[in-house]
Amino acid sequence: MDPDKTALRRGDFWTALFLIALSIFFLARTATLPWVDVSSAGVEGDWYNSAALVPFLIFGALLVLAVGLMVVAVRDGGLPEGLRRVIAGRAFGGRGVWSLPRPALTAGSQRIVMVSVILLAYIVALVPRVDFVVSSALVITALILGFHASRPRAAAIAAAAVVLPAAYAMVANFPSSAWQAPHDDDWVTLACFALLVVVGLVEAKLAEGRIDRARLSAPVMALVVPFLLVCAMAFGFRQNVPNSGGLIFTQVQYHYYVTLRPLWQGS
Amino acid sequence: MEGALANAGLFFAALGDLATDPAAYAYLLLSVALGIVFGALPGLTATLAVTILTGFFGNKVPVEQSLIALIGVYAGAIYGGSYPSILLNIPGTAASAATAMDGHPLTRQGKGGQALGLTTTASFLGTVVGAICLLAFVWVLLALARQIASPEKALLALFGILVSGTLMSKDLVIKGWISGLVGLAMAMVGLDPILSEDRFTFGWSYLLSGFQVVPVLMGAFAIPQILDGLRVGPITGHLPQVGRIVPGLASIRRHGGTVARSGAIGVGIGALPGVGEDVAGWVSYGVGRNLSREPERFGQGSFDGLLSSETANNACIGGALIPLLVLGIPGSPPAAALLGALMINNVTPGPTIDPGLVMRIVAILVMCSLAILLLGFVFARVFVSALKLPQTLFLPIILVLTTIGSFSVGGGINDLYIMLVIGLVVYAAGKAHFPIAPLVIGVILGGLFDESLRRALLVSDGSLAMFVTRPVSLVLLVLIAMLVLGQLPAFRRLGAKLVPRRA
Repeated sequence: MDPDKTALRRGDFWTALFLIALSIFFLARTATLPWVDVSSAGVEGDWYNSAALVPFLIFGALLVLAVGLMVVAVRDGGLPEGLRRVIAGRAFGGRGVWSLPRPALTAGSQRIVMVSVILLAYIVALVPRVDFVVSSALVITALILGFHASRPRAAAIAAAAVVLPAAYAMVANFPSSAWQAPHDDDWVTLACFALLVVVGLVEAKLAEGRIDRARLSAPVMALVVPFLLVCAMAFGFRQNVPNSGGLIFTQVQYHYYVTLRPLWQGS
Repeated sequence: MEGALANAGLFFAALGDLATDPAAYAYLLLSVALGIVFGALPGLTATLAVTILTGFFGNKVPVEQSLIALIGVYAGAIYGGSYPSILLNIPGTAASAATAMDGHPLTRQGKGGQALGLTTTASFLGTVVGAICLLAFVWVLLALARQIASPEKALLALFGILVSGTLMSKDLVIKGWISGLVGLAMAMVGLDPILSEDRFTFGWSYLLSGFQVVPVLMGAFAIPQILDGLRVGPITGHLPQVGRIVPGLASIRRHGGTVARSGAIGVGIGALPGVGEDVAGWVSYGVGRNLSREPERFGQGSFDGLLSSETANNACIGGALIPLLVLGIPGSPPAAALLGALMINNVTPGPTIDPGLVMRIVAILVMCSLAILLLGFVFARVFVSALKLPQTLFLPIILVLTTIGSFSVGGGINDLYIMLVIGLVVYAAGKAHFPIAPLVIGVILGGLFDESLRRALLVSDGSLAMFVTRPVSLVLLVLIAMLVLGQLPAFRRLGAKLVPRRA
């Protein structure tokens, strides 16, 4: 049996288990919807008009397919070794489930964990609370300096530089009522950005003996791109922009309406 | 005959409007160039390009204008994927994976420039074939679509999800179907369309209106791409010298048959719901090899092989727009993103669609093909130099584009949370070989399926007989049954017995 395929089927086994649990949970939730007496908002109906009908069909079908996936996974050798021992009654013997080797995190998986942490910190903590240009500049710089080379140290520095201001912003301004007001988390993020640029470039120089153009251009690009984007979205396409009360955007907005606009309006 | 003439008149009027509008040229050239760059950079896809522009334009720019950019970037990206396939043996997009089979051997033989030139011509011709088929078939199908009622709509939505799940699965077909069902399940969240019953919102008022299209698209197509690209790190390859690019007329004429056949295959595959340009490229490549007088040259640097995939993937665009415009069922993943753009602009595809808009789309496609030809011949070396950009440099920017695009369309920060969660789940699902297109198509078609099925049952007072007494419905039911039963081992064995193998 191909080891890659066995690993895939082992994943399929757990996915099927999760999908079975998910389908049962949602079938139970669907059962709470009106099924027979479905008249609502002046619309008369019966079982065939119920809001529960289609979800019942979907989650029922999902349950059947998930069971099918599990059957295929087990048939193709995807039953995890621990469960195999439990089924064979050897779970707590000499070579019980506790003696199973723990899978090690590969370099690729470590990078994915780091990038996911940065994404979470950016979207959950920084974007709602911190000026968009500043937070995006930090994240762009972190992702370029941290992941342009395959060095765990560079990735860890990048992740720390994003997580620290994100944690501060979350703690200092947790409720959504505090998001729009200007506060010091913009400055903290800006300081982390400056620190990351210095530390990240020094780390690259120490590790590789030189700093390539991609990394040198990162900080400038990281500031210019979100700045142009925000301006285009807010004043060109007239779209909403995140954290309009932020450090840089308030200045841009002020000068757009007070300094620049009167110029081309001739007043 | 009169109808055809009237349609031709409408088409030329739309083409004239576009051709005399300077702003249209700016939109067109910039978007096709952007699309080529997106396609050429491994890690960025046509779907991602259309999705990002959908978020960028939102509903603040008139749909007539934004469609130029969206279709331009779509066509450009499908063509642009051929650059790294030919020069680096790294497919820029899945659509151009088959192109690498013969494109790169040609580069190794010192014919990279010639391969790029013929690919440009093939993409131009493929897009034109797609546009012509769209023009020819959309009216017939729109007339037929007027006969389609709720039972057929429900079955069509189900058929679309099943076909997409079946053909897009690289591992087990069951995974494609599960993916489609999860998409359908996601579409059940929010107020139900008939009785306004609150379903699966768990008290979160944001979910009352269900999952919004743009964050789902961004989450499904952008976030996994960013995660995967940053996991891999920079992809580099030695860029070879590119010689003369513009091909001679004789070499184009020599491959006329291949181009015509591949164009037809591309349109046919594109018209299947949810099946994209990658399938079109591979199917056309396979057919080309089977019909070739020199099949042994396929994979060794055959121009026929190169043109088979490249013509088909661009012709697929026109094909994918046929079910989109006629039924509101996207023919490919980028077409799903295009449907998202139409939906946020309150344009409802289907029998009631504005004929002027359909003609404008065909005219845009024709103009796109010309832009591909122009940019491909004049600026090919600029696009080749873009291949030097490492993905670790542009993926972070894509993240910021995705974030602001998803935020701006309407739901604010909640849309970003949804985008992130969907992105992480889809990334994990992709690693487990679950196809993503059926999920997105499920989300998009879920509402149609739910509403049509229940309306059909309401009209028939709960009787299921209408599914077999209506001819179109019966045909669809049979197709769905064949699709499902065809995957069961018992029926496969039966099929193998009934169809004797060739010796």
